[in-house]
Amino acid sequence: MAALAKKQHQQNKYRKRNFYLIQMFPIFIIALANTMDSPQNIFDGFRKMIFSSDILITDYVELAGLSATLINASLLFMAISFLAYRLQIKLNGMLIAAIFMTVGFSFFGKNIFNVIPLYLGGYIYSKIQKVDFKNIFVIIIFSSALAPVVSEIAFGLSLPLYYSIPASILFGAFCGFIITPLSANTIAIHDGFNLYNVGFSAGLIALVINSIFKTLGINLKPSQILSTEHSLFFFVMLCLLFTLFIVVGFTLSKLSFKETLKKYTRIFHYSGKLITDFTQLEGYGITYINMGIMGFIALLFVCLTGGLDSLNGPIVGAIFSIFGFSAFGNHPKNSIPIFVGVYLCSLLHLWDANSTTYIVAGLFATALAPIAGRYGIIAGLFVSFLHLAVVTNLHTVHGGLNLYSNGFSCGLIASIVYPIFNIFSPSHKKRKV
Amino acid sequence: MTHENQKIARIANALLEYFLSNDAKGLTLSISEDTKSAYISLEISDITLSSHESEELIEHLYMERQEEMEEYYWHLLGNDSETEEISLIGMMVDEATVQYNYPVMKIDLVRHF
Repeated sequence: MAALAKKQHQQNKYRKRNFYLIQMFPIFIIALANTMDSPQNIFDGFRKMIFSSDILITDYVELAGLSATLINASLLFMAISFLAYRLQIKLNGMLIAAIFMTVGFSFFGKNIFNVIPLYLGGYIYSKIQKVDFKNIFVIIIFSSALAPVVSEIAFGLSLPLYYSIPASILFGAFCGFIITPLSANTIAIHDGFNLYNVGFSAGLIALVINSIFKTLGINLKPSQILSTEHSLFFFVMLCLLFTLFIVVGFTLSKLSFKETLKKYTRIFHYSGKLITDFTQLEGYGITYINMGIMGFIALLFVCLTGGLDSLNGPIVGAIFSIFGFSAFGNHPKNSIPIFVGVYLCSLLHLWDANSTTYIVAGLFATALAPIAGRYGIIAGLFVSFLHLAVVTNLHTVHGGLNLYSNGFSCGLIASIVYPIFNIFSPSHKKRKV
Repeated sequence: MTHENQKIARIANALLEYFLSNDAKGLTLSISEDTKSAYISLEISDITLSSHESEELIEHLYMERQEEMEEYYWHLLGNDSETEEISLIGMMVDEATVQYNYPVMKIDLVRHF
């Protein structure tokens, strides 16, 4: 008993130390942001951010300025990591993916106002269902895909604020309430082959809400606010972050370069299908190395598609999402076929391959990486084409209310293709661990 | 305790499905529970696994329990899958014991409520 108490004390000590250590990152970004702009401009930027409808695609860098956007991302990062710390949630692959996806989308759609009602709804669900809030917390982090629902009702419908704000909080809480049971069911539809599963369930909810809006005569206008001014800043920031993770990962692995490389290639054996938590399967060192490498591969893809000169909020956000999900399914072997597929599709001239929409769709197509991981390269190339075809036509369905539009598309595609691929796959006849 | 019975049933089902797909013969499954835990025990009288396969099976079943993700992924158990399914079982139980003396295997799983 004494030994157990000592072990728990030791774990709490490490958890506390890691929590304080991880806070250095947002504090540094906030300090940096404050040196780049005046407090008045940052305040005005925040005001614009919070009072916008946030429908896809609203690039906060253009709307509110770089400093306000960086502070928004840092505040969300700090808030989530503080809650995770208070709830004593282990830092696993899913939590890492959720944190970095939220940080990514805090560049275009999520802010400290519009995510709160969704968290509130999740909390009410946990109380009614008598489930520990920490057991659904990570799903609730992902549920902020529906943050534009809150912003749109509050500020986009031209209603008096004393009606619209309470209505937006109620609607947001309702979405947060239903997303947990819905996501648990949608995951079975595609059998875990779509990494952005909450994007799929959020897409279904957004589809219903948008249909109700249309029935009431409210037609949501798509947004296309994009920045192009800060490409160099983002490029340097991302390169530093990815390098840092590779160095930290290598240090944590405590192995020689050759041994680390050998251990790293082990993760290529995993298809990446949900739930593939690299932190549990291969340890934190290898996970961080994979995150850094995948970050660089995503940057290389952006470079090849000609997006490096126009690195903006949505592209940076998509890179952050891949970075996070590289702790939870994405690795070079299952993701490169998807990138190659998207790149080959650009040669067909069916879409504007240099546009932000195309690049972002291409990056998020890696949600289908488990298909390539399980069924091979050709399957990966095929689904990347399907994803581009579907996602570019989905906006009219959900009206931009679902930030994870690509997760919705990937969910639809995975649900359709995986049972078909199973017919031709010999591996399903005999299982292997 | 939400959906506790369904979760235990899915764990048992996934185990059975895995071993049946690996041509196991003579399977005996037992499930019991007290106020604190559920106990799942599987005995197989004839199963052939290579040392690599049995090592990986043990590695995945001995994985640390991940309660924080359970509400999200437990619906995946029992669907068609390979590596991930055994990891999922490992993430849903607190204790696992695997004894393999060819061709007999005994697996004991404990899940605390």
